[in-house]
Amino acid sequence: MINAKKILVGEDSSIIINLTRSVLSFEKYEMKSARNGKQVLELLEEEDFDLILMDLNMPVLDGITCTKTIRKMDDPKKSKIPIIAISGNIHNYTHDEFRKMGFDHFLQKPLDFDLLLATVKKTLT
Amino acid sequence: MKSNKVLIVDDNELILSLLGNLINQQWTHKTAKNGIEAVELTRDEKFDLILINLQLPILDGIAAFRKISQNNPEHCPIIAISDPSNIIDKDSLLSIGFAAVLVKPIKPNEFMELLSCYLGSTNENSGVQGVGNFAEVIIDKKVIDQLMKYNSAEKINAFMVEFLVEVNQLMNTIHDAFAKRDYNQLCENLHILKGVTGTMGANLIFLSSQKAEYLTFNNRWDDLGNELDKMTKEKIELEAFINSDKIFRK
Repeated sequence: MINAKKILVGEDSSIIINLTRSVLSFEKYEMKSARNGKQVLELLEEEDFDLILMDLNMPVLDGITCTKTIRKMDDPKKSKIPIIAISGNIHNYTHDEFRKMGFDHFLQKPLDFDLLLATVKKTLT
Repeated sequence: MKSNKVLIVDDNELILSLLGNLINQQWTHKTAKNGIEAVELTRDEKFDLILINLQLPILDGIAAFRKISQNNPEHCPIIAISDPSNIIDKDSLLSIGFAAVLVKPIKPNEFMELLSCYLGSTNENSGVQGVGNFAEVIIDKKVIDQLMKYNSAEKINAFMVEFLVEVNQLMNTIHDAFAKRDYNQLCENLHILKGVTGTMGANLIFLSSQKAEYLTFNNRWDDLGNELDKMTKEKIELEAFINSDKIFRK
């Protein structure tokens, strides 16, 4: 396996992290998880990722603020990383609003794992 | 089983008929063309959900919303339909008490999803009726089928056990927060519970957490207490179902 894509998942529910891991590893993606936005930033500081799945409603630092922070980073490898928003309230925002907040795609919770995988694939190609 | 009734308030005939047709797939509906009509209709009739355009003639959406709330503080969830050009932002609308905001153009699948959140699904295939299919209401078979694509049966069973632990933790926190009337803690944990149970296809608890979240937003503590009691019973059913190991038995 050459160069498996690395995905960072920001999500505060451990069962959802584990389910997501099972689905992503099925397609041989590498995955790391963070329980809040602050941990996402810390992990991103330490290593490079190819994609972030970001729950909007996380404790300590929420997904929207976290994404805005990432988009302002100096290193383009980090600031330009594709980010997919995950939220139970995606109806509260329009496509444009998601784009303006810095997200490349968005997924509705409850998560549909087939759709999640398809969106990840599409974003990484 | 078409029982849930929706009121659509819009002055645009096309919107009324488009949304009406969608709603009729699963529920029933009535229409009103302006705020006054809406206020009058809701005085005589009970609805389960109201969709109201903000830009209405005679009495606009927000004014109509206020009147309906005044007449009946226990009113059903009301969803605002807004134009992208509307200057009132969503957060303000939600803080006034709207349950959700739909921005035009409305996409049919998203629309139906949102309505299912408030009305439940009466899709005949979902097996709500009949003892044989009852388990599918506790854990949605579609979710299990999807997980089966990526995981072994053993692993799914392990996920279910882990899922129960998380649901128990969340519900304990929710009950504590309810006892303390801790609004933020309640909102936060109900929201997580909703995401987790929805993703696992635990539809009954998913719908209850959705409703509980709505009741919390509106400070309806007595109703919330009842909803949380109902949720506890649903959790016991879920526990019994998962522990009975029936998930993979045809």
